[in-house]
Amino acid sequence: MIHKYWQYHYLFLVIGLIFGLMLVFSNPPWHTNDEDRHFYNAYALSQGNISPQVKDGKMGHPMPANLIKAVQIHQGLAFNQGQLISKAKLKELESQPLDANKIAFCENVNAVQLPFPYIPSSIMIKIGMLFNDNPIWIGWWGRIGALLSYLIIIFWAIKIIPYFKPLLTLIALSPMALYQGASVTYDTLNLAFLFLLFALVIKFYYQKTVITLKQILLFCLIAFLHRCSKDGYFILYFSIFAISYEKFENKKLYVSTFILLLAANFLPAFLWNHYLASFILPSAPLQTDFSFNSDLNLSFHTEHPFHTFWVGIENILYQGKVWLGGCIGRFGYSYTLLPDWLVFLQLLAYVFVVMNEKPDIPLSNRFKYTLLGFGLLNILGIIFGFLIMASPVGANLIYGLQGRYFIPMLPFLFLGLFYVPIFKGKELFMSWCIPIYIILILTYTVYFIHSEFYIS
Amino acid sequence: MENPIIPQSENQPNETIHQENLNRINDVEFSDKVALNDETASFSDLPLEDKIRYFGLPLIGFVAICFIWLELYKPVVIDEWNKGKYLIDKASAIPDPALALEQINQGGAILKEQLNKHPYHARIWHLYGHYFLVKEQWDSCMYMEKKAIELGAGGVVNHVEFMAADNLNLALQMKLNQTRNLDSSLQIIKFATIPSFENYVIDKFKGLVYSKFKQPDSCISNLKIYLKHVPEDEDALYKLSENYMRKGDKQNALLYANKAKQFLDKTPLMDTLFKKIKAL
Repeated sequence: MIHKYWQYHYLFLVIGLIFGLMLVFSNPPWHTNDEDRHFYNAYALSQGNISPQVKDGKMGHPMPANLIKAVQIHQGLAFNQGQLISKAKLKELESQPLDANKIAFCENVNAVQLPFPYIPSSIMIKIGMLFNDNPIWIGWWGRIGALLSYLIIIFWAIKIIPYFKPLLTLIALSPMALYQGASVTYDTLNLAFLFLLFALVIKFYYQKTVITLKQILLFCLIAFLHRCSKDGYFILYFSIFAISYEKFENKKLYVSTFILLLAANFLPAFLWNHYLASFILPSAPLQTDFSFNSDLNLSFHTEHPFHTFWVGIENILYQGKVWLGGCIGRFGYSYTLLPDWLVFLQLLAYVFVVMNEKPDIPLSNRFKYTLLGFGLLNILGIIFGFLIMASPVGANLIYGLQGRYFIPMLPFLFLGLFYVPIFKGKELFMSWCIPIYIILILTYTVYFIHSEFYIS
Repeated sequence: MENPIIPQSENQPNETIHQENLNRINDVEFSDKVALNDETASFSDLPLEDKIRYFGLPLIGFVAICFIWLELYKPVVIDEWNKGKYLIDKASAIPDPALALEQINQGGAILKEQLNKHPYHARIWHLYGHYFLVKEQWDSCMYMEKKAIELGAGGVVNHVEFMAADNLNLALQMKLNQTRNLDSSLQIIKFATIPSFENYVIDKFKGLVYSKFKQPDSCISNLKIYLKHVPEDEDALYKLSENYMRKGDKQNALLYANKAKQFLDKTPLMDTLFKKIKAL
């Protein structure tokens, strides 16, 4: 018999909070990918700046010069070449004043990003600055805000999902997911909302009542909030259609769900772009050494469909190991990977927990394969999306695609591939084994980060 | 269309689905339920058909993950233009000059083909310019690097314009070494100048050219512009001092000679320069 507080959602909260806070402070300041640009947005939002500003033909926001300097000195550190951060020096920087009156204009090409995903960080920055407004601490306040939102949303997801709690807990507390969750980035809410959507789909599948309009509206609202956070995962919204239409209250609701999800996907970008159109913003392309014109690229690849298909396969084989590593632990702009053994162990752990899941009613093959299909479709969508939109026209190598982009698909993938309804349940064993395993892995992760990036 | 399974009831909007109907709606097969509920069921008891049904996909998934993880087949994926660059770069390691030249030309042919296919890629122009630099075809190099800068300058990351400017300046320097008069030198410099791109090394070249053809006033004005950007360029400091000396301006000649001395101290050049300045 498992104690009532020894439940996965409580375990997630406690372990997530302890190790999340450790990651907040151990992860070098503004080291997470693009965290500098996301942080500028979060800080600007905390000061009431929703829309981007323009000065001298550049887009960004005004902010304290000391803050900009603190962020910039932590960018481009050559960790891969042995450069380390001195803990003593970091301690010194913690006593530097903000000098909020000395304002400079901070250029930020990301300033056009929808501000929604930065709300938790900006709230915490605003509150935290009342206690400590040192630039380094402002960065940490932002991370703490992001972490709290990540923990709250996924706590709810794990609480409501009737089965596969261990899988969701394991993925949400994997080194990479928690690392993202404890950083100022739109990936925090991206992961949290997608895990919540997964939990809802499983809940709806197993519930013994029909799916009502209220439930659908909630599902679509979460999809909408997710889309306000990040693009690229809309295919997963439609995984609700893995559930038979007979489960819906009526056919009209079933059809309306489709329309509502389409609206949830298109409305945020449409409304935000409409709002931005009222400003005269400079077009500042991030990269100009190549042309990344999507229309040209699409036209190039549609002229050579077999070549394009083969390019996709080759990239999966060429970059696949790095992508798998990136799903589990590839940290910051230095792209520092966790050791191979840990990555493989984590992947095996996912297989283990799925195979040992024994719901009272087995998951049907149709539902399982449909979920898997949506997961794979979204993975392929991201791969080919990056080929068309983020790689130079005519490139063979897919640029810029990182393994962490596949984390939201992991529950769909592992459930779809490895759920086998015949093993006897080992609930008691798993309820101890999984938390202990997670604690060990995260302890190693924190130690790894300290040893890779810091010198005493 | 109303749900045919749930009985109609005006007062109960959230109808409870009976277990058999739930199983039917969720497509749960009877054999799955039996296998699941049987505490004594084991893998070996299952018929072969069920073993394949249950474990076929997990096995495929596991094999696929291992295949990718262990990199059992890892193709070399490289953009065509980088293939050309690779051939050119690796040619320097080939001891036989004829074979090296053949490989360089192979790389150049690939880059030319890619440029025809993708003339909007600044980096391919730069790589092609690099090919001409290796082949010591200075005019073509300058043309290609100019195009690279015009197309590619202004990004936030992965800048191509600075590397292109370096090649452009190198080719320009080599070309200027071959010129015999001021007009043709200035024409070449004009060709290398890109109005939308600040390449302050051009001012240095102008200064050096004016110095070469004994026009101290123009030399001084151009080198001074250049030194605002690179105040510690020993070449420019030396030439500036030399040209002030030609004008008879001892004070400024000494000033810049002392600055140059920090980098060119105890060289015959500096000794000769100081002697000439002292003789003024």
